[in-house]
Amino acid sequence: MDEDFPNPEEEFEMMYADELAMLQEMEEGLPNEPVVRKPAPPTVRRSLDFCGSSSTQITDVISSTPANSGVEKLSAASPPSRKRTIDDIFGDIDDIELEEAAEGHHLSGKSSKRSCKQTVVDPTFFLDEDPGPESSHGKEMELIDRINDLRKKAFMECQQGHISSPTSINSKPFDHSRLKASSSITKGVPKWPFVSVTSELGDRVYVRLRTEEYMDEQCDKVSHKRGQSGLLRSSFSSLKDEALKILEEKQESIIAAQVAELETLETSESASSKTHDGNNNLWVVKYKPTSYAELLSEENVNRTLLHWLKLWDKVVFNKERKTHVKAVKEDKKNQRFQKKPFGQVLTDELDEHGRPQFKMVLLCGPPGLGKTTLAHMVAKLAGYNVVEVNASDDRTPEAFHTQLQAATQMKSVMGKEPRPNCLVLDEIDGAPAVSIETLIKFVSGKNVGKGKGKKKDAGPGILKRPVICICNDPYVPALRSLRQQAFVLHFPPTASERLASRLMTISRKQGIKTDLGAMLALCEKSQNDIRSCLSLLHYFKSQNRSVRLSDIHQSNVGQKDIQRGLFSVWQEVFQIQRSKGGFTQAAANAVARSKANSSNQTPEMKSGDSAIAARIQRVLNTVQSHGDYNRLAQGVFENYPNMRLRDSSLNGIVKGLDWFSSVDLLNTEILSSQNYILMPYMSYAFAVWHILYAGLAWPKINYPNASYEASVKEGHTKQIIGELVKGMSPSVRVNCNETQLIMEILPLLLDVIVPNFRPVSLQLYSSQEKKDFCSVVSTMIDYNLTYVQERTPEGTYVCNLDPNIEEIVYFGESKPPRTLSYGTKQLLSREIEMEKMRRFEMAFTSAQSVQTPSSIPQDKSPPKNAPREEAPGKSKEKVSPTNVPNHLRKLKAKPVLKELQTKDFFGRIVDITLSPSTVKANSEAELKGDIWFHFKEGYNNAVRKTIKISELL
Amino acid sequence: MILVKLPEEGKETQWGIVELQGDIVSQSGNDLHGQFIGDLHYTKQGTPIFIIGHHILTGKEVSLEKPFAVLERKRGILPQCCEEDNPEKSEFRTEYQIRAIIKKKLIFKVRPKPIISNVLNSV
Repeated sequence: MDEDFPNPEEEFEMMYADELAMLQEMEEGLPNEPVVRKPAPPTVRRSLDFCGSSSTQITDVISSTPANSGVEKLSAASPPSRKRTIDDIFGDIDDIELEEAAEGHHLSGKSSKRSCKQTVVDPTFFLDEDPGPESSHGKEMELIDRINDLRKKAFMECQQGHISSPTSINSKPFDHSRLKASSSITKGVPKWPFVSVTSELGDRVYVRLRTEEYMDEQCDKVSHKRGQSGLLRSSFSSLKDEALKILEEKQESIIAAQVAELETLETSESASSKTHDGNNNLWVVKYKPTSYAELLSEENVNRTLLHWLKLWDKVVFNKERKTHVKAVKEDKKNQRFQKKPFGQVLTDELDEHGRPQFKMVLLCGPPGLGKTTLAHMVAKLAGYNVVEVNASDDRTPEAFHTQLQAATQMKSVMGKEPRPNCLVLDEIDGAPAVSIETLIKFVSGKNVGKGKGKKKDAGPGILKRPVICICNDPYVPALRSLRQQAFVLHFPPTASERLASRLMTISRKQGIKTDLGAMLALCEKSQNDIRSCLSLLHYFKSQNRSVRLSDIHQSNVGQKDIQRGLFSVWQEVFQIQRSKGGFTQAAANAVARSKANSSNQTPEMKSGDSAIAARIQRVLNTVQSHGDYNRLAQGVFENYPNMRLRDSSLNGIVKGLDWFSSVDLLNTEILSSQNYILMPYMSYAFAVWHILYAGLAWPKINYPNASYEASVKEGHTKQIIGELVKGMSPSVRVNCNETQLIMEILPLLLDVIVPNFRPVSLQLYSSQEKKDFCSVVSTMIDYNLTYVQERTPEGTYVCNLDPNIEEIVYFGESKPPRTLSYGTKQLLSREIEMEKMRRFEMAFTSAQSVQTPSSIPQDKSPPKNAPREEAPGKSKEKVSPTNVPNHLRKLKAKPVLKELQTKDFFGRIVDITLSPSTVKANSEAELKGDIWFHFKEGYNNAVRKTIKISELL
Repeated sequence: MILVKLPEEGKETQWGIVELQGDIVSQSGNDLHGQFIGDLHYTKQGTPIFIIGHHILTGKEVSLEKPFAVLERKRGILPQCCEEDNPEKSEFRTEYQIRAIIKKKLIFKVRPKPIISNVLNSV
């Protein structure tokens, strides 16, 4: 009884006992009533004794019992609780009476509760409560009598100052028969008036009564001032409910366990508990490899990854690096990593920060091979704390960056043994390209910046933790840059035998009856996807069936949408698969599928034998699983001419082209009307093409780039046309649109602007030629054409049309029938420039003259000249006069000034300078005639010679 | 090198030496004595410019460490001497008279520049 959870009755008694204890405690606190104290403790203690075994709520109660009750010394808890009850509940009102009142109500409340549950058990209640020999019903009675006496006394005492009603209420419940009556009290009319009277005193009394009413239905939140809620943390009713619930649950679980046991026994399963566990966690988790040796993936890959992780030891675990590095190096010598001539070789060389050359590893491989498991396992093995970021996490660049920083630069301080983090970025191929950019910048860019500082090991900027990226397809465009930065580890598919043997072990553990053949078939079917194998096994297990080969073939659980490459899909379309070992499976698949989409059967399928049906099914599956019909159709379209066609009448071609056009129509319709309901029909074209074009030989498939090229070309053409149109003179532009230009005008225009010119200078042209020349110039200006000198790669210079409409007009190899010589082209381009300037000038001046017609009468003459000069085409000579007026004026102005100066100079100096100069000239002539200076280079070679005066004398 | 003594400009009895690096040659082979050689000018900065023929030379004025004296030898009978000493003896007497003391010389040691036109005048 003590150990087990008490049944509801007992539990309730315990509660009651607590109330009693509380009551006792309160009385204890009062000095004037020492009598009650002594008899109370035993009951309290007893009640406490069996409380102690039960639930938490009850222990709460215990804590509120007074310390002097003896058994449990919870003195620390008791004073506050008592205080609170006194403060909260009774406030400033006279202690004794009110306290007693409180208790009375309390009791009545409880009892009423109880009475609801079990009709009339009141007397037995006390009996149950006291298991000890000394305690008896009589004693209990005695206690209650005493309490009643006490209350009466108190009532007498306080009658002077207080209203009689509450005490009368109190006294009544404390009769022995009160408990029974209490149920009637709630219903009884006379009680209610009292309630209303007590309300005068304060809320307290009133509320208490109300709680009695609502007790059953309301939780403790109704009011804080209730006695019950003050003493217990939650209201009594809620506690009781909870206790009941716990009881129920326990019973249920026991029953469930029993049932389960029974069931398991019946099904002769190995262990009942295991099934229980098995329901909770997936087998994938359950049979996760727990040690390095258990890893299913290829040893080579495992080892390389571990090796790479170990290379980080120097940076990450600074202390141990020596031994580790040594170990690693030895390891390396054995394995000769450096000697391998592959593209990417993991080297031991560390950069200046002591990090390995590759800061990241990119694990790639099809799903379900255990890439993530490997990463986690190896990282743990190398002593890292794995931080995983996968597709379900926020991978916006900002979030990504913070995560990166958090993972690589922080360290958990709290854990038992703080370990450095190793960041595992799972499914990185799904991350946005920007995030990947961030990653790369983080890994490479920052450390460059740091490298300038040359601070070793210091600085938060550099990446000092290994980063492992995991992806399914490394050739996703977003990963391109990552591929160059990271050490790419391709995950080869697990060996079927290895996987099958593991599956066998698992199924043995799980008690599934199976055989190796079935497991191998399962492996093949799931394409060595461990995850799907396990889930399939789990599924069989849950059905409690033995697993046989046929089961495996029939199930389509193991098939998942594996995204196959474009080329493999095309190959599928163009190649007839030879029936190999897996053909039965394919057939089985086909059968399974045909059930699902029997409505989709093509006419060929109906007519054909099972092989053709299987083929079609296969193609359909592949194509549907890929889904990018547009691209696929393009590929087929560009590659089918290379296939070996069997019918000479080309009927197949015709048929196939019909399908192409229908696919095109469908696609257009889908894209234009967003009507995706047509989408499923597109895949059937592939089946037809497969039947028509497929051969046994291995097809050589080229990536379809014609459409891309065409679109590029189109863009280019449009650009040229745009340029052309932009500069065309409005009068011409009015009459042509783009298509007209391309289809009609430009091809002819190219002929028009290439008349026959003799390769002589412009001056020597005949009048006819000059006329032609002029018309060419004006035409070219009209169509915004000109010749531009370009340098060819060979180093020669070529004149090309500026908006190069030749590109538009001539296709591929075709060349223009005749071209102008380089010199003529240059001549033309110059003339065009001139003519443009002239026209501009004309427009400008005329505009000016319009603006201010009167002010500049002189300006009018040159524009008048200009058009006249244009017409005859003797432009060259006339260019200067018309072109230059502005210019010339300036030029003239300067010379004139200079001349004036010189003239002035001359004029003045003629008088002054000329004469001296002439004089000089004369004198010079004389001088020249006689004396001149012969300069001697070198030093002064004077010979000194002492001369005595006597010699002179 | 030829030393040419010329009277200093401006001052009455100041003489100077013109030192040239080179020769003054007369084309006609005449003796240079008494010939017109060239123009000596001073710029505003005080550097001497010597123009000989179609050459222009710039030089500098240097004060001599040891001044030279320019002596003039005179032979003949000085009236005073004659009076004092024997008239016979006095006839044969040569005397040196200091005409000037040269304290400065003009050195033209730079390569001469040819004069082509009338630029000369503007200088």
